[in-house]
Amino acid sequence: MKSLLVFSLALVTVYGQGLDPALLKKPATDSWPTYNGDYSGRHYSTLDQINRSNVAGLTLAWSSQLNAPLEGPNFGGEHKDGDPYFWGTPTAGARVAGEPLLVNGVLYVSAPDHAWALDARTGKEIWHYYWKTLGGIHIGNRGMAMYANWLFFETPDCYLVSLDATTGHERWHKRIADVKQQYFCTPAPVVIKDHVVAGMGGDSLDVQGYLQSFDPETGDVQWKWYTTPQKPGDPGYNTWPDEYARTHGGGMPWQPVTYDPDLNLLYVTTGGANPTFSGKSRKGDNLYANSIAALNPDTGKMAWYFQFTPHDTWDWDNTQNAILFDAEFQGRQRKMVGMAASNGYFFVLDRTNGKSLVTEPFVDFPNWVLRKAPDGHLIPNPAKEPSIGGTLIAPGKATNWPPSTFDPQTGLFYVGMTQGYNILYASDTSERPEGYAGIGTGSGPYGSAGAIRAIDYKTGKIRWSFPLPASGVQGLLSTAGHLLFGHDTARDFMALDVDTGKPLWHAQLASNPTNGPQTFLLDGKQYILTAAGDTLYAFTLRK
Amino acid sequence: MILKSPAFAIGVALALMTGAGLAAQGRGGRGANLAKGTDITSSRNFDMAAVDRGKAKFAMLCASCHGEDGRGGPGKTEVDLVRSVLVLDDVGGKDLGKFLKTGRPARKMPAFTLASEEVSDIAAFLHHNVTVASERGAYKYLDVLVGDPKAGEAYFNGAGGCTKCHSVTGDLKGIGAKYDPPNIQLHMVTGGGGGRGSANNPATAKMATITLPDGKVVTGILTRITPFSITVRDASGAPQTFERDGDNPKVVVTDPLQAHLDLMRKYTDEEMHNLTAYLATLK
Repeated sequence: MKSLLVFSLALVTVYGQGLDPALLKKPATDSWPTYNGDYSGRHYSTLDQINRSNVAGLTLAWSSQLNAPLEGPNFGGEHKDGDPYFWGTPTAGARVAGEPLLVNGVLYVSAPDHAWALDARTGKEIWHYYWKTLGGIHIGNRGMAMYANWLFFETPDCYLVSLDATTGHERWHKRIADVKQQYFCTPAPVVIKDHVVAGMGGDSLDVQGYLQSFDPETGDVQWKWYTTPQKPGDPGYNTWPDEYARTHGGGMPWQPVTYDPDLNLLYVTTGGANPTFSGKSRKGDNLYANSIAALNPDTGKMAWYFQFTPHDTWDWDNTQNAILFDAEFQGRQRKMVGMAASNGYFFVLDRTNGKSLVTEPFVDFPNWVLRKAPDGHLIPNPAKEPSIGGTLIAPGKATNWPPSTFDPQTGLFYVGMTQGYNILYASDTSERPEGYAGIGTGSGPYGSAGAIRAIDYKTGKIRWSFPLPASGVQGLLSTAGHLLFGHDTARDFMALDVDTGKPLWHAQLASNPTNGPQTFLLDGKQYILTAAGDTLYAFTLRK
Repeated sequence: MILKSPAFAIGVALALMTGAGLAAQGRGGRGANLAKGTDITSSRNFDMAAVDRGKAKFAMLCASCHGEDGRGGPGKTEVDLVRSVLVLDDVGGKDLGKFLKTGRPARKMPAFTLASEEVSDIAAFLHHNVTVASERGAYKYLDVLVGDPKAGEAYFNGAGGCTKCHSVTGDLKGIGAKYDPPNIQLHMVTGGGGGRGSANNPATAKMATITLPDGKVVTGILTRITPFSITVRDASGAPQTFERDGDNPKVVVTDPLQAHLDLMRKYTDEEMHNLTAYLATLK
């Protein structure tokens, strides 16, 4: 017990009152204390011990298969024996589709209904926590947040759970949203100062999206920001025809937020408008669905917004990694935010005010845009909305939640993408369509081609493209060692040269990685960590 | 969102695991012997006789204000019973029954005196309506034959270039009877049902020609290609795998379905609809 006590004190000392905002400018190298490793969302590390001259010697340090029993001595949750389930049931096994945290030599890992602490030097389990779910779609969990010695994660039935990092025992849980209304929650919360910022999801029925901030000590709600305008005078109020549409318009904020401590703004991205495949009952642009918004993390007050897909009828959730970076643009240093959106377009905005700098496709044949407005907004083609006879739509979903990365050394964005066609059918032509209200045929885009692409942030032009045999949507990591880590969609975890896309190393895993790769120093050694299904793999250099 | 994994299979598996027979608070109410651990909101788990009784009762008592489908809207109440939190929170008619006893006079919703079976039937109908709206795996296509078969025939024989590979009296004979219209369209667009089918079918399988550094050439059906290896099945049926390092060995892949991929980039939705309408006539 003594060692546990010392360990917990050490954590309090290091992370006393939350994460150090300086992490944005000076990413931690011996920790991965928040979803993206730092607040910027760049998914980039300054570590270069592993680099392109020695990466050929990268080898497995350990692998660890997570044990995910549906019972255990350490559990929580609202479900009692004999209760029914709503809109989903517990799932056997674990799939890690988020980013473990690494703090003081301990990895904190989560999956739907499960959380673990693992010894980062061996992958061995320290504790396990199980959540007895009320239901909800068990699609994924993006990971945890940490404040002092407290951990926070979300459950599929939409609770925010706080655990003691030392023991894994639950401190409290608070309801984020009502699972009976078909909300389900996947995001990793993000700690900003003394705020636990937690998003949510749910697109099966037409419900309202919101982002909340919770007090890390008590779990009390500090503020709530709705993803649609709430009262006359709110910007974008008239982009919905009526209250019925406005208050059931979706726009779920299910991507972990990024944050700029200097501007004191967090950046939240929002999912598609509901009903998903029908715009009939929601004529207008439907703000702030499919958008990025900058909020004050102390108040939840919105500073600006920019919509990437106005009046979305294609399920193009705009919930990609919003990457904050400072660099030169047209002759002057600027604070920018960039994103490769699921609609197939790459956007760069000035993150102080939301003004557009670049809007260019990173896919080869998008067919849904009528034209680009002078202010960088895209005007969709109404003829390409889902129809009774079927509408061929491209690019499909070009990107998704897995983190893309920005390398400040090359000035390139790296994106795991896919492109192809879907046929989208309208299936509900009533006055009040509900839910998806349409059918997307097949399991994915036809004739799809996956690739990892390097995009020049100044122009949106593709610098290089590494073709992949299947959909290439995936999480990536770039490092100061001039390396880009990702996978080839055929179970090879690999390192590419950031300048050329040439593969320098690969290793065949049991399945394709299911999260974004991470890196950190431990005992002076650089590790590369990735998860594939229920198994974590840690790589380091051969001695 | 993506890849929504329906809870169906899991619910069934779990029901089996936990043992059937324990009656849960089924939303369908009577007759629904649901296993412990069942997702009672799944459309699979409804007592459809109760849903039908509830539908008839609803049409008689409620539809004049709420509409046949309970969604309300223009000319009806603004309340949408698919989105109603009262309905979504209700289990088996319990909350609904309480509500119906008093109604909401201030908003012109009268009280109803109903037997508990009638309430649970109406509840079953309303809850089933919610699943109809939200379980997109169970959505039904409307009549997708919106195209002009004559124009489709002209496209088939002309601009579409379909006759280069296909014949309506040969391989496509009876295609309109073999598949329903959404599947005709799917096969037409993808060249084979969304997947590639069996790699044993040389008519649809990709072929690869591999030229090794020593000049030897291996040709076969492509079964797997990654940036680091390629596997083909040669004429004898044996698999052959080669490591790949950039352009070494040289690999050329040919796809018999390339014409379908090219058409995707080329045709308009109208041309696609016309072609489907034409193929649907080939009974």
